[in-house]
Amino acid sequence: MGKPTSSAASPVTPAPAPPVEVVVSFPMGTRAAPLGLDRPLRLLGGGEVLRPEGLASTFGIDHVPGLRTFVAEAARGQALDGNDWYRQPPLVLLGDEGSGRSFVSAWIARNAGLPLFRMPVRGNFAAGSATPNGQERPLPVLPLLAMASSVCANPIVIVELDLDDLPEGQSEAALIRMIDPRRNSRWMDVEHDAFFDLGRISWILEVRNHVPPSRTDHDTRPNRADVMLPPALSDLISDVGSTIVVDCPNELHRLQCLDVAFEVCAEAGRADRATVGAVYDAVHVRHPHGRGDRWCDREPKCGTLVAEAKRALATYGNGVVA
Amino acid sequence: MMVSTADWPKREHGDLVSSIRLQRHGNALSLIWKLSCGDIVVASSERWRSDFGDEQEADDVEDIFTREREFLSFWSVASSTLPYDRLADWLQPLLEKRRADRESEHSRQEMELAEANQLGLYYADDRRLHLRLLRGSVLSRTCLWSIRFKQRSQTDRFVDWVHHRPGGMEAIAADAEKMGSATLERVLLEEMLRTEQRVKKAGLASGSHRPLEFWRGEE
Repeated sequence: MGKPTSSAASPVTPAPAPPVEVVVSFPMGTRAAPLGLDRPLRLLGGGEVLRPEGLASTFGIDHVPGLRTFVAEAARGQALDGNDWYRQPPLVLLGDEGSGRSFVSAWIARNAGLPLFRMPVRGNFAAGSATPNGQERPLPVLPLLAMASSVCANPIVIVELDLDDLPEGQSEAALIRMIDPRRNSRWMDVEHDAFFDLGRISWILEVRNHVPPSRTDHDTRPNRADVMLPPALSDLISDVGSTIVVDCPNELHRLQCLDVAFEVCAEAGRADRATVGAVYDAVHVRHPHGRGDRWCDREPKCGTLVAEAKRALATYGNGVVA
Repeated sequence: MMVSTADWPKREHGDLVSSIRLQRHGNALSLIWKLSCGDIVVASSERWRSDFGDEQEADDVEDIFTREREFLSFWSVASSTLPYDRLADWLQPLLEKRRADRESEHSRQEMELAEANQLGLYYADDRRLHLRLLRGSVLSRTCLWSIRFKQRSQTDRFVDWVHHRPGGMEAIAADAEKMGSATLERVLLEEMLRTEQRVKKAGLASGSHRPLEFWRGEE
């Protein structure tokens, strides 16, 4: 067999361009915007990230069908609109517990260079609609806290939905006002007398369920792709968003282990072939069987694979063969 | 460096598609990743390339990749992120298995061919009064010639002789085609009687209805 050659498709590290800045608060009265949100905030994820050789060509997500195309379309959309910063349409990630939805969100955030926040949303969600009570004022909603704490106008916010307690009616409407890209650039916060521009945030809707993955009910539990979102939310996603099912079957388990190993190494700045190889070996040796494999007593959760990869990387770094 | 609108095709050109293709040039194989939009290639990279010594090895690797799409996806990432020797270590057993499969398939085909050409003289009934010369496997047999007797001892007498006839069953099959069924029957019975006479003269025949029962072809 001849000597193989290959070329990596990792993006070239660019010379950092000065970040674009934007103001996201528009006070209605004389009161200043909370958390210093009246100062300009950075817009991140531009330049090389948006080029075809950038995010769209980066390793680590090939085990999730459709995701590479999704981020490529998002990058193209921003580039063609003349926006030198990353934003993606609302993305619904469906999948069983442990299938790797959080890994996907973290991959996008890290490789786009954006801060990542998580916002649990339950049936009683009522952002921006509570009535002020005397001197008592509520804290700003989480997306505002996210922008203020990261000094970034376009973070990624994971909206964590619970299948057993989905927002309906007014709660659903409140959530839609916040994430609908057609109207959230003028999101009104009554308590703080201001409009805020939430239109640069990338929203990822993670639909959680509490069915623990197990071998026994793998064939009988409902397909998460059939999960019914509340009707208006479902319409919003159909109109302007995308849905990706993160359900790594056994056939893709090796690729998932490799993607996890690469991403963990890349995050640590050690994505050379030898290190990735050692970390991959450690992960795959400990978890040789994937979801749905008949030899698999306990299906490996993606978080377990990530933890294993981090442990192996630390061990490998100490000169011990993993 | 700022991104430019020139980096991407306009939306009118269609949706973006990410694909992995296996390409072959002679005995060389390569894996090409492409991000394309209609006919426009937006980004691409050669993830892996290998030159194989012979055509058969290249065929085998191509076959492995073509049969297992998941392996192709895995390989496209592994070839760009893992040590080169690891790739060879993985490919080698797969190639060996492919070779073994091919050899076993070859043996099976040879066996089937041999079975299809198998020639034998079989009893056609339980009373053993009817003999048939058949060619082929159990599933598909063709009768080339047959002969009937009135008594079972006559059948046995004929069988005692015919198994030692020079040329074996192939010669009988050839004669059947050449001279026809009825003529062959006469010729064979005459030959059998002449042989019995020679054997009796030589003192090697038994005295029963089956003179050649203990004869083993010696003249």
